[in-house]
Amino acid sequence: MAEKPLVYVKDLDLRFYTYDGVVEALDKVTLYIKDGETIGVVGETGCGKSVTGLSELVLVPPPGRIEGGKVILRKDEKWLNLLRQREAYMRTVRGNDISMIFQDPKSALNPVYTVKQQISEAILHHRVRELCQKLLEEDREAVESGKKGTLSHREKKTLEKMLKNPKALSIRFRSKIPFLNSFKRKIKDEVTKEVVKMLKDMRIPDPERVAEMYPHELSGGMAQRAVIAMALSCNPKLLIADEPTTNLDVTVQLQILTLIKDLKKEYGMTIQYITHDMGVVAEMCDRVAVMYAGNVVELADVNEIFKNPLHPYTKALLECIPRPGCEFKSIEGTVPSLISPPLGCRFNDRCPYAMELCTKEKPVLIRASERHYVLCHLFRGGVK
Amino acid sequence: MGLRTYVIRRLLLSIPVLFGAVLLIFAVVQFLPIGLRATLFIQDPRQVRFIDQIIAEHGLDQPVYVQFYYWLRAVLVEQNLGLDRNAEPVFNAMMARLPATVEIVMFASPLIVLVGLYLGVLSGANKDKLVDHGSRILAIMGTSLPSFWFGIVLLSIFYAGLGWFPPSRWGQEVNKFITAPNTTWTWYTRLITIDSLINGEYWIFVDGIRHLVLPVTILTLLNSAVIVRVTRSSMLESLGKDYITAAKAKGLSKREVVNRHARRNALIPAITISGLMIASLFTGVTITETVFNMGGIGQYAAESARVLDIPPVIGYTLLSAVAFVLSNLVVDILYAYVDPRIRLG
Amino acid sequence: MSIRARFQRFRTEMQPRMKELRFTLKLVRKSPLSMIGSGVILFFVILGALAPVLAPPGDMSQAGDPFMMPKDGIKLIPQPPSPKHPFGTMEGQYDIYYGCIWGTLTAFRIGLSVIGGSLIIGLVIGILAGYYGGWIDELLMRFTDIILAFPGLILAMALVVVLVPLGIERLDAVMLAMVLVGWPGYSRLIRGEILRVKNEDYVEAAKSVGCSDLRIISRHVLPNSVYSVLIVSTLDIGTMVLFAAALSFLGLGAKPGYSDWGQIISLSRNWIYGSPQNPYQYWYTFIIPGLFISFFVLGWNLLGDALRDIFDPTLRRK
Repeated sequence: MAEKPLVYVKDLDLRFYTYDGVVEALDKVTLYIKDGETIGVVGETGCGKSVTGLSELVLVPPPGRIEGGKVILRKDEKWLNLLRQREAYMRTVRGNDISMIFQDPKSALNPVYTVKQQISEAILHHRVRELCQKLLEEDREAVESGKKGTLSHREKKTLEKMLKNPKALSIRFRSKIPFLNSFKRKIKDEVTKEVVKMLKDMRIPDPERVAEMYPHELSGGMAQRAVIAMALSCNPKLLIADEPTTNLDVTVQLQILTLIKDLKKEYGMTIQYITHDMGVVAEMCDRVAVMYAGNVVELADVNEIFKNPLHPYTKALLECIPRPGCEFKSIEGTVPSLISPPLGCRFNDRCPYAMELCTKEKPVLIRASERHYVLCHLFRGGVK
Repeated sequence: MGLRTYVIRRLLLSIPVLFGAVLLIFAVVQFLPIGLRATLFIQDPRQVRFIDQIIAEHGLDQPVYVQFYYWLRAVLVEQNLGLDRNAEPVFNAMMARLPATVEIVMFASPLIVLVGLYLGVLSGANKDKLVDHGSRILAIMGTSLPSFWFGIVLLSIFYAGLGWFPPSRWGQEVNKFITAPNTTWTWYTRLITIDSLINGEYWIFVDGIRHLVLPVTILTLLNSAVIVRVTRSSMLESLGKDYITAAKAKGLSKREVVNRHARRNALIPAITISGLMIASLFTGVTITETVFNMGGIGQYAAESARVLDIPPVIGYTLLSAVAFVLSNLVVDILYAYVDPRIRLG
Repeated sequence: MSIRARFQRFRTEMQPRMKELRFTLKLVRKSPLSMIGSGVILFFVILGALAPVLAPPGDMSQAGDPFMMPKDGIKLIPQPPSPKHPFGTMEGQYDIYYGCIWGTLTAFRIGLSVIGGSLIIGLVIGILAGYYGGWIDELLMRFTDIILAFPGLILAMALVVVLVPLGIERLDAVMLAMVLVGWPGYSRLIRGEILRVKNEDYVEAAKSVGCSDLRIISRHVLPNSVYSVLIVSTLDIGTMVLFAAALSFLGLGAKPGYSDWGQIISLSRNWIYGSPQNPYQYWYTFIIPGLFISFFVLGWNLLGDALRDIFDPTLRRK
């Protein structure tokens, strides 16, 4: 790899310990994401693309457990294995360096809180120091230019203390007392301004009114924009989008996709786009990772994938896209159960090119060309 | 549909139910022979001799709907619920004993709800840990123990044995003070706890609380069990929702997620159950009052039932039905207020 | 179709149900709570079944009714446990041991018949309301709502107070009152389930093929909706026994001397403060029967709770 990637997932193993047995959900999953690119993670339902995203945030719910591998994030010129960090540290990463948006926007929002309250939560959690700074700056400027300061003496003292330690007991205490908590209101006003700005960036009309609404009052498209606003409110470097348009009407889908593309340019984000729709991949992504049954089977630039698919599964997938005038095609067979996955390559029972080796030995990720990786025995000696 | 519309709608819906309940009581009474039914109307022991006259006066020999009209008129207009075995008008007897019941319920209800909700949330957030198992055991005990028996056991230990918490509403000393001929004591609300504070007699307040400890404890222990169970499962359901994952993805700590997101959603169904607890409270109060000799309407009705004295029982049934329907109404309105999905339509 | 063929068809139809049943039993075995609950219930069943052996009515019974507790003398003061009276005697010298053992049978009798009666009435009304809908549903549901507008114990009290002067035996009046108070709960439940099932596709399919209403109800709707009602009713057996004990305690249930746990405790009311020397002197008059009630109800509650968790579709296949 030429330059260092932003995220590097290597040999990630994930298991779910369930009643019916141990589900080998992810098996040595490997992929990398470079700065500023949009990588699509494609695959059928159940192939593990969603849990890969959750694993990057170390948010896999029990009974799931990450059993091996690394998830490396490049933060502040350092490389960190997120799997080895303490939970407290991860909480500074989530929402701040890496954010996630979900498939069903209405259920990703808490029905009893307004949009503003939920977006504020993220901002207050990560950016409170920045806002304190801003308020103090404003006050200083006002004083310097001869006008009356914007903050009272008490407020200024509290804000300065907050700069150092926002979660201090004295701050929390003071925020509960009626007369002493005017600083809280000032911060809230700042946050509200930010929230409205975010909503406006999401191309939401009348953002002040929408901010005060509850999730059930929003349409699907609006709700998803609100979720995106929430995710981007702290300017993360990486946005993991888990099938954000699957549950939306087709016309709204297009709007959201366009929005995401525009936002990427505006915010300079890197996007990990999880989907099962090859059309969206063609539209949105620079590179693609194809997943099957818990493995990354192919990893390449989007043009390469469409022009020159190497893995038999990718090939079959592309052939399945309905074309006018052609017959419907499907891949024979079904995805294997991940509780006792087949030995060797997990695709071998459906693969038209399966060899004997495929049933016995697991393939390793082979570098077929400069930026094209494939998990298949067919390419053991380089490109065929 | 808006809160106001919802409230009005609910109010209107309660009226037929209330009416139906009253009708049901009336129907039940109809099964009694005519002589006994007449006793429901008399206000004065001397009237017993004139049963025939009463029968004619209140139309007891006339068709059912006429009787219903007469009975309704007696109850609503004249507050005539008949006489009890002591020749005291039932209505007055019940009103005199109402404060005792109110006092117990007043202290027990908030405790039951708070303890139940708190333990339920704690249980749900810490599934399968010690706290969870502990409160589940408590909950099961709460639904398995007979309230009257538990009351007796506690009385045996804490009163007969230790002398800490006596039965009845107040002790002899207090009684002497209150009933003395030139006493400074005045009744305001007829609730011993509040009135003692108003009168400035703090020792009486302490005494009143002492007498309330056991009945309130029993009611709390036994009735919070259901709330704990419901809140716990509601909490578990809430924690499985997507917005919890989304909140975690924002970087919030487990405590913040539980307290701010899961809890508020979990409490919504728990509030309904808390309301339904009021019904159990009526039954619980009846038994507890009897065991602890608190002199409330529950005890009055129970003792009347024991000797098959009908008017007080009927009167009490009427009262509980009305109170029950009203409290359900209040709970429904509260529920609508708390859940923005209903509030804003 | 020949008999053998019919039998074969029955077996194939039953197979998935049998498998479910076996799976359920496996889950029951795995859950410690349900095993304890079942154990406790089993204990009481055996106790009840062996009642004539453990506490033979022959020597001391009165009026030929084995449920009446034997009296040994006429002293009013309860006597402490002794070899002749293992649990002591109550006021009036009734043998507590006898009362507790035969009380098990009374408890089962009350619990099962009240639940049975409530279930029958509740199911019929609920099914009618749920399946036919329309004005039948409205009417029946308003009626159930009205009954549910009363706290249970209080309505039961009122009913007993009216039924007894009509000549019905006290205990029977109590059971009848509890049935009348209990059935609306089940109606609501089964109606809800039926409404849910009614909209399922397989019911539409059956209707479109021309199945009669009765057939649809019995073969399609019922098996899928009756589950949750049965679970709730198991839990309720314990509650019903508590309910009956409370009514007995208040003096509305069995007559004095009858082997009923609540009744025994009711007679002990005068003795709970003990004597001036020893406040716990007469503990056996209420502690022992109370423990019987508590454990009996606990067993049913544990089983019912565990069954509820087992049958909960979201938790069933973890």
